[in-house]
Amino acid sequence: MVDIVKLVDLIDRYKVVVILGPGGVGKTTCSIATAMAAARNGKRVGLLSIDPAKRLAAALGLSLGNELKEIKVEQPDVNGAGSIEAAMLDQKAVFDAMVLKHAPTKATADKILQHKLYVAASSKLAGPLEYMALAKLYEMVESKKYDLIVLDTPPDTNALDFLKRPNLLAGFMENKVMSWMVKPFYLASKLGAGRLFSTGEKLMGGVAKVTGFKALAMLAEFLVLLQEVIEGFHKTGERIVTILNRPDTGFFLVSVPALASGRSAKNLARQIVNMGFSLDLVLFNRCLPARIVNLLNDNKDTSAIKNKVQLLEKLAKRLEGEQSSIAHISNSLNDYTDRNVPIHRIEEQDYDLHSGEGIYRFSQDFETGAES
Amino acid sequence: MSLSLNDLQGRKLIIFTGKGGIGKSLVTAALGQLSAENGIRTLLIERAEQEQIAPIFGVDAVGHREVKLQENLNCINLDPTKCFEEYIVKQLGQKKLFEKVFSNNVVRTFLNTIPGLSESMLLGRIFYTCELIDPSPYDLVLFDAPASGHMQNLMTTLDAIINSGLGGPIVRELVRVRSFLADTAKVGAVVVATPEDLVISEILEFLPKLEAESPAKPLGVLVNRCISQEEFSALQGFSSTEGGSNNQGALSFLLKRYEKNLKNQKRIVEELEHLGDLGHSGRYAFLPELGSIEEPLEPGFGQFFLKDLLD
Repeated sequence: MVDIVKLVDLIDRYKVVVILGPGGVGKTTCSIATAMAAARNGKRVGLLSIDPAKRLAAALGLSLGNELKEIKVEQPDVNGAGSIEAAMLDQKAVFDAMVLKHAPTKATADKILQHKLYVAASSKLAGPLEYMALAKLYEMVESKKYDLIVLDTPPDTNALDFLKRPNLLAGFMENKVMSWMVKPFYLASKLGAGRLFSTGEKLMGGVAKVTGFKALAMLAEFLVLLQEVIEGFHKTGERIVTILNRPDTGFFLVSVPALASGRSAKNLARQIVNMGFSLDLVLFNRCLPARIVNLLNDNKDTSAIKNKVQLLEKLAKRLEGEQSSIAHISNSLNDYTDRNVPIHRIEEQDYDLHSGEGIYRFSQDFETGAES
Repeated sequence: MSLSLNDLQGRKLIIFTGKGGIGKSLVTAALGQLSAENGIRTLLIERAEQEQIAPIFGVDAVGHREVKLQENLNCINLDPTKCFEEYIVKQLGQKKLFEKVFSNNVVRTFLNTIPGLSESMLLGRIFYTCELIDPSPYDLVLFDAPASGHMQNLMTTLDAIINSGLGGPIVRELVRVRSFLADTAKVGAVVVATPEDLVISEILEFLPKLEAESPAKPLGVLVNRCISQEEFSALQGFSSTEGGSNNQGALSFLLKRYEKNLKNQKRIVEELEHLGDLGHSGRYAFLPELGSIEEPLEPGFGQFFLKDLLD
C-alpha cells in the first residue's frame, strides 16, 4: 500500500526537486505550483525552467529571462517569509557565461565566442541546453540563497539525456579524448597531412576519411581552443551528479492518465530508478474531476443516453482509460523499486490556468489534490 | 483552405510535429494504416526512447529494424548511432574502416559529444530510405518527429553544420539531404494541434518560424480532439432532462469546456485563413475527439479518424 502523504510535507523533505515527464502533461505548470506551494509555507524558492517553447511563462505574464528574477506571488495566506525567484534558460546566454568563466584568458574567450562552430553550436543545435541547465542549477545550489530549488526539465527522452550529460562528459575526460587523440591530431594537422604517428592520431586519420581532413582539423582546433571550458563543464557536471544523488534531492514524475503518456511515464520511471536516482512522487495531472465521475456513474446504465449523448460515452471511455493507466503505472512501480512511491492525482480544472490568478488557484488545488 | 489526403499521400515524406501530448503518434499511425489499406506501401519512422507507434498496432517495440505491422505497413525506430554505422558501412562501403576506427571507444566518446551529429545522421538515414534505395520499397514515408521546439532544432541543425565552414564529405552529403527536405513536391511537414488557447498561440508562432527556417516546409495543420456541433447539442439537450438534474455542476463544467472547443475550432479557421491570405501555409483539417482509443487499432480506424481529409 502507498502511504498517504501531504504534498507540502513531501516537498519539505527536499532542497532540490527535479520535475520530469512526457511532453504536454503540464510539467511547467506543476513546477510553478510546487514552487508556489513551498513559498506559501515560507520558503525561499528558486525555479528554473527550460521550456523550449517558452509559451507558458508568456501566458502567465511572466517575462522570464536568463537571470533569476523575483516573481510576484499574490498570496493572501502566506506567512510572510516566502519568495520565488525564477529563470527561464536562454541557451546561448548561459553558454557564453560558461565560456567567459572558464576560458583561460579574455583573448581565448573572444576567439571562442566568435568561432563559426561556436556560433552554430551555441544557439542552433539541440543538446547543449541540457548542459546549460545543469550549470545554472549548480550555480543556484552554490549561491545558498534558496531553501528549495525546483527544476523543470525538457520532455521525455530529452529529460534523460539531460541526466546523462554529466556522464557523457566524464567519458570524454576519462577516455582522454583530448590529450590522446584530438590534441595530437591537431598538432599533426598543423605540420601537414600524412604525418600521423600515434594510435590516437591514426584513429583521427580514419575519422577524417569520412569527415574530410580539413573539416576534422578545424573541429580539433576548436576543441583545443575550448579545452579549459570543457574541463570547467566537466567539473561542474561531477558536482551536479553529487547534488542529484543527495537524499534531499527529489524526483517528481508528472504524467496524464492516458495510453501514450502513460507509456512514456512508465519508461521514465524505470530509467530514473535504473540511473540510481530515487523516484519520490508520481503526479497524475488532468484527471477527470470527481463530479464528472459521479455524473458518469449516475448515468451508467441509461441506454437511451448511450446512443444519443456521444460526448458522455467518450468521457466514460476516457475514465476507463484513466483508471487502467493509473493502475498500470502503480503496478509497474512495484517492479522497479521497493520503496513506496506516493501517487498524487490532480483534477482537471475548469478555470483558465494560464494567468497569474489561475496558476495560484491551481497551486492550491495542486496541494490538496486527491491522494491515493 | 482545407488539407486533403492527396496533399499528404502525393508526397514521399511527411513529417509530423506539434506540441507534446496532443496525438502526433496516433495521427501518424492512422495515416499509415489508411494508406496501407489503400495499397500504398508505407513506412512509419519514429525516433524515441519509448516507442509510441508500434504499440498502437499491438507490437511492443520494433527497434532499429523495419518490422512489418500489417500488409503494406512497416515501422522502424531509428537509432542515430546505428544510422551512422549504416552510413559508413552501406553508403560509403567502408566496413573495415568502421570496425577499425568508429567502433573504438575513444572515437565513439569523441563523436557522442559533437552536437548536431546524431540529428544529422537521423535525417541522412531518412533521406537514404526515401531516395537512395532503387527500386524504392516504399511509396510513402511518415516520420513521427519530435515536438515543436525540438523539431525546430532538428530542422535547423543541417544549416548550422553546412554554414559552419566545416566542409568535407559529410557536409557535402548533408547538402544533398537538405535539398531533398527542401523539395516541396516530395516533402512536407504537418503540425498537429488541438482547439486549446495555448496550443493555438503556439502554432501561430511556430508555423511561420518553421516555414522561414526549416528546409522542410509546413503543409498545414491537423486539429485533433474536435467535438461536433451535433455532439454539443445532444449534451445540451441532456443537461435539461431528468438525467442531468442531479449533476448540474458537472454538466455546466462540460458545456463550458466544449463550447470553448467549438469556439476555438472557428478561431483556428480564421487565423489560418489569414495566414493563407498572407501567402503562408494555412491549410487545415479537423479530427474528432475520441475519448480514448483501443490498441491495437481496428481495421478502418484511419478511414474514420481522418475522414475530414477525404472530403
